[in-house]
Amino acid sequence: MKRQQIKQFAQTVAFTGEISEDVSKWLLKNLTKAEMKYFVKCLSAEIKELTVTAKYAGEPSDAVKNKIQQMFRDKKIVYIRDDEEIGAGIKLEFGDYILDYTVSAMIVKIMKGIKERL
Amino acid sequence: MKPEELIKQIEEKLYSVDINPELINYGIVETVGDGIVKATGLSSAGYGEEVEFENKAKGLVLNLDEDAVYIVLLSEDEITRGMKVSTTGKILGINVSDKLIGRVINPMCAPLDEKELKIDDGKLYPFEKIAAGIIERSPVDRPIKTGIKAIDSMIPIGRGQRELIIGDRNTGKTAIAVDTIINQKKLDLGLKRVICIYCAIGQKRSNIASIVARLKETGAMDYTVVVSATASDPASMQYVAPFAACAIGEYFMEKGEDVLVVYDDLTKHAWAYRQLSLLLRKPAGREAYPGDIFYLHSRLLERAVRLSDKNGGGTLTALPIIETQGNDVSAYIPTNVISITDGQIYLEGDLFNAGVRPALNVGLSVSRVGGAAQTKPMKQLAGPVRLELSQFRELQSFAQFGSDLDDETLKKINRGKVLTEILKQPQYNPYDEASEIIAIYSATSGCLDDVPVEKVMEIEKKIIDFIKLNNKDLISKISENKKIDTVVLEELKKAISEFKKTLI
Repeated sequence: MKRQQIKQFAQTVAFTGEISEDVSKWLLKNLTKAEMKYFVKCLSAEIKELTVTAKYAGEPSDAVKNKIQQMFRDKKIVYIRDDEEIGAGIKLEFGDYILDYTVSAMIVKIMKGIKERL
Repeated sequence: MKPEELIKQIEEKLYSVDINPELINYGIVETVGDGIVKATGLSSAGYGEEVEFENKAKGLVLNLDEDAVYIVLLSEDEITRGMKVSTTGKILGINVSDKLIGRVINPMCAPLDEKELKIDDGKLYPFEKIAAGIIERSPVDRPIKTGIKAIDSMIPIGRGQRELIIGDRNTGKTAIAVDTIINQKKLDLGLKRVICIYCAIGQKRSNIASIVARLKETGAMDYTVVVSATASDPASMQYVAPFAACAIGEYFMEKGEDVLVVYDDLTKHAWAYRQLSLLLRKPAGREAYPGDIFYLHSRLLERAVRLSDKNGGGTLTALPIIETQGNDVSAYIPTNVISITDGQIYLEGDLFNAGVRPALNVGLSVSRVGGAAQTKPMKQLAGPVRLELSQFRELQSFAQFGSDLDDETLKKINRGKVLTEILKQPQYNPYDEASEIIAIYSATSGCLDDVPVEKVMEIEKKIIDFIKLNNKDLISKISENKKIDTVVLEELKKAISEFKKTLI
């Protein structure tokens, strides 16, 4: 199987969100070890691309949840509560991007600004 | 300042801090080894972009693959698999200010001279920059005096020129560059001061230490910046070092200053780039160098420029150094750099061993800017030197026949020998313009034809001292950067004869 085909297959699997038993058996039987590794890599990258992880502290309001839903209409949103890391606010991870609305990030930015300017 | 005013100023500065959330593009470290990091993600990373790891270590993106980005580490911090790395949106650069003058730094602007370096008024200059176009440039027409008679008379270097210094190891390449830096202390001929940048690439620490000590001893560090990436530094540091030196040079040049950058040496720079390229799995070409090795040096040296007055009139002169193996100038890197530069100073091991120092091969050395970058008196008097030396070289093979030669030929051979002696010069002893003119004129005018060859250097020095002591008017006349008329030449000849009388 060509790399391009493997990539397309991984995209399809990630989009549909499921894989039948027959297909998985076929994959295990016909793909080489290297191809399997590449398939898993592509699949995890695609899942990452289609999923938005929202890490928050405390309980986000419905308004915030709605806003996030509007921002990422066709993506799956996973909410993870992490009071210790986030402190206050929300951190959104999608694909290989991070949008940091947390208080800790703001403090880091202020500290950096003070160091640069004073 | 009152405390209230201080508080107000601090508040104003703090309010100007941008605390809006930003979109960070990140990646995950997959593999680390030999100073190269392979990371996935980083979809918006660009070639040559600076990236930052979780532990604040810095890296440079040097290869973009379909699924991964290859990063070259710029520090020796520990990077582990799974670590996050994020883009900065910045091209790698150096924070430059006037405070760098007199300092020894590494390419990332960290001081190496055990003194604190805090640049708060600095300007960020990118390592990679497109060179000035033809409209922004002016022709090179002002000299940069090396203080070396042989170079100033036959291979003049102009401000904004790229002149290659090439030769085997231990032939005096660095000595020429260091002498040129030392000579910039002399502000004669009404020329502007020159800020010098010495960039050491892949050299031993001890060599750099001795060069810095020499520059300090001669007072040259007052206008010099030393950028050092030693052989013990990572290849990535050696790769960025000349670009950092060039960026520093551009800062001063854009302020209208004249700048001299010495790249010592680009052979080791090519080796460092080859090492990085092979680790980055770039396809290897001739002698295992990557295909863009020519572009690497051409884009660096193309940044040497003389800006037009409209653009500030600053200049950046480049003196790259190339080390050859077994006098082979036709090797890959030497031919590349020869074709990029505006001339070369070719130094030969045999000449060096025969005591001809600087060991200049007059036949193969050339400056493509030529007389345009020479002072008027030097241009007028040094004209016959090259011709007489080439005639001497041709006739030298007949010298072994001795008495069989006619008088005219013997005279030419003798003149050639005197000229060769006159052009010898000890290290760290740059001449001023007047001394150079007196030395060259005394040889070309035939005033030294009756002096035994082994005594020429000694007599030359005495003549210069004699004229400087007794004919100050004459010295000021020949130092004026005006064409020397016959009256002054007669005066000079007379002064030399007067000196010769004192010898009898």
